[in-house]
Amino acid sequence: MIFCFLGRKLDIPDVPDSILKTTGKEVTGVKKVKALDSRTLEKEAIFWGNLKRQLKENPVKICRK
Amino acid sequence: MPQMKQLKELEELEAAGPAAKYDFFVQWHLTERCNLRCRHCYQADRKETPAGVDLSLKEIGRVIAEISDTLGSWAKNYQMDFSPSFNITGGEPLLRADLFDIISEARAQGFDVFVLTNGTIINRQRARALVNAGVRAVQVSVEGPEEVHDSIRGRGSFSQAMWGVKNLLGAGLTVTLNSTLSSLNAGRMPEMVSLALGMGVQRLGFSRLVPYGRGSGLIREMLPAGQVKKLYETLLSLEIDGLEIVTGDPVASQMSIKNHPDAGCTAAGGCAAGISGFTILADGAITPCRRLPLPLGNIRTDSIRQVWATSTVLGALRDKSRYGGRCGTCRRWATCRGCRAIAYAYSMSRGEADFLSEDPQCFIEQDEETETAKFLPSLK
Ligand code: SF4
Ligand code: SF4
Repeated sequence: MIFCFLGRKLDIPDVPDSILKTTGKEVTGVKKVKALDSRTLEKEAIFWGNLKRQLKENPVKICRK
Repeated sequence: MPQMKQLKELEELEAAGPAAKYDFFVQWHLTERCNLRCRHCYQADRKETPAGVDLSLKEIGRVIAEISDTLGSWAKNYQMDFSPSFNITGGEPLLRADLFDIISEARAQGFDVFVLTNGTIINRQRARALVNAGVRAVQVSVEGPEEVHDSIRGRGSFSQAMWGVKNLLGAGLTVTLNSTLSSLNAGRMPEMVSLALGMGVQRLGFSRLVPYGRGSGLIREMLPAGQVKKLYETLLSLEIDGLEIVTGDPVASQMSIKNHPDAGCTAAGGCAAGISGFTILADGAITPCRRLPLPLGNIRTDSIRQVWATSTVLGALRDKSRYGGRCGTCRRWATCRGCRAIAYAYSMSRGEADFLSEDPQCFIEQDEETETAKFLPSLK
């Protein structure tokens, strides 16, 4: 028997494992582009370069949603 | 010459040495299936994901490896030191039969794993399985005392969630109760503090309502900026032994800083969208944030590294000159930017759909009675 913190009885039926039935399915035949061109690398370097400089100057607090 | 510029960037970085650990996280919605139908859910009210659309365990393994490789490349090329993590959620993530395998795989690849759940199907055995898989902490959504919670999340869901919380705590996990703040529950937050203390959870967290998806009908329940301010001032000033009050809200992070100096034009804190992580939806769609439904690509076909560097949406999120309203001229922009998801949903409700518009609930350095009224007539 389970009680909540107020001492009231919680009437919870246990949940059977059969509820955990969702799984995904592989999608085949899709191609993933992996090679990065110089323009992409340049943009990447600018992003991380700027960010790193900013991090040195300001401590950050990020929203983890 | 792009290569020259790039070389210069790299040289500068090398000279700068390693940065402090940088929190980079991926919010992963493993399925859209859910056993509840909450009124404020930011997921659209569509039928459960058709079979075959959710990523398979094998695909998920490949994505984890790709993210790990990407972070490894960034760390090596730019001398970044990452603290990488996954927020695993759904729908209801516990509905995935292979959840524990997925978590174990992420842990094996060096990621911290946090689980966000409605708590309602976590029995003792599943709580223990989460511990064994290596979960760091669990966040359970609780909207207020029982009648408030049940009116939002459905009858009986409060008792079930509390049962789940008890099982999680019993298994030794760190638990956060998180409430989505709106006029439906704002007045009941002191009772949430009592609830959190009574249950013995370690943290109590808050997010603001994003009136999107099923929650778009709740636009009128958004709190006026002045009320958000008062609520945050009360909640965040609480000092309670053993209970940490937390929020990632960028606006809240600005409250303690008076006379903010100009933080410049490089986004590095506050809203995580485009800066320190991204979201993967059940079908592989990539978005900047779970609450900001702008598609950047699909994890099945697009490279994370490519998307991160070249997405025009991410580029706009990082560009102060593109922002509108107060956020566009704010000297706190680099460390805040407001909540882009709220700005987007709110602007959409006014027929504008502008994810770079000002955060309509910002209360920083504005006179609530005059400025708020000027900007937000419909929130008064
Ligand atoms: S105006 Fe925008 S960037 Fe400035 S404090 Fe408010 S929400 Fe943050
Ligand atoms: S859009 Fe809002 S919820 Fe998403 S990371 Fe930014 S501040 Fe957080």
